[in-house]
Amino acid sequence: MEDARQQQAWRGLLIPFALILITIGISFWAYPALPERLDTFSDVDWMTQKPVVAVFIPLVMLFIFAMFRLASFVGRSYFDMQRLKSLFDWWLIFLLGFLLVVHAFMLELPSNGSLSLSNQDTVVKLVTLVFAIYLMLVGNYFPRLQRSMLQQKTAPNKEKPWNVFVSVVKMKLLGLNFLGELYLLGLGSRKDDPRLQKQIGSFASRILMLGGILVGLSVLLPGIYPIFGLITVMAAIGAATFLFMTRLKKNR
Amino acid sequence: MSINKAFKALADPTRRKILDLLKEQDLTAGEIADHFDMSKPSISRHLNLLKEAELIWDERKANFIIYSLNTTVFQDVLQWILNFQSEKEK
Repeated sequence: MEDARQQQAWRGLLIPFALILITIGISFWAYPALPERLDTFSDVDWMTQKPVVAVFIPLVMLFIFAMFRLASFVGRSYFDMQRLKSLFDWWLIFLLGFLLVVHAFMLELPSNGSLSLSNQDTVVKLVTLVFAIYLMLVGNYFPRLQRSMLQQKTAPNKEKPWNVFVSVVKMKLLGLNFLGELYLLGLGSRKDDPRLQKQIGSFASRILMLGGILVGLSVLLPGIYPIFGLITVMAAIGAATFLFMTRLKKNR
Repeated sequence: MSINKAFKALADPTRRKILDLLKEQDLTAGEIADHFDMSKPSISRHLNLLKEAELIWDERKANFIIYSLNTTVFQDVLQWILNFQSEKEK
């Protein structure tokens, strides 16, 4: 049990911290080579200054990290947070990893570094890879999410709209948007047929995982073709979902 | 790491059978033990290993601890591969 706790700490604290430290390291590394003003797609003058650009994403990462820590306290009364901890930990690592890459792009491009991130193909491959990881992450944890207390704890509040409103506003005001969405997701499912829920859950997790693997494989395509691969897979997921739901409705 | 733990937990046929039982419905430790010809402490040890690997989840209800499945798709696939392998070996 002690070992399990250590492992959770490693995943939930040390990896996110390492990612934040790497991002800060990139800022230090690129700072001397950065021009005084950077193109940040912002009309606000101070947003283009190099000190602001260098600290912006590390601060956003620290904010997200703090929000995820806070979420486990706030969400405790609504969800079985311990059961979903693994999902939240990986979700946090995914978000921070994504921001690290964005940060590397933002600072590497103007400083003309040697990472060759300015290559269009690299950008296309990275965007496709991010989508692949996203789909696989959600698909992989979907069954756990469905079996969690999410539905049992949240759904009784369905009959009390005021409680629902206050809870969602509270979460959103705290910046815990994802927690609010999760809470709303749990509202609609308790009275559904459990067999139907199982069928939908099983389909959703498989199609998302399969889609993620296919999108991941499309990264191997040359040039900008990974983007076409991504669009094709997303369209196929949409079409397969529509067909599956139509068939379910007919069978009912 | 979690993958190692999951692999270790799934390597044992008894633990895989426990997971198969929990696929059907949530069960107490006693109900799980009824399906096996072994002592309750042994079953309890198997359940602890599965719990450490986050493959099952326990929840106290009144005087009972109810066990339910907590696997991810990846872990389901791993279980399927190991089941397939052990069937092949038989």
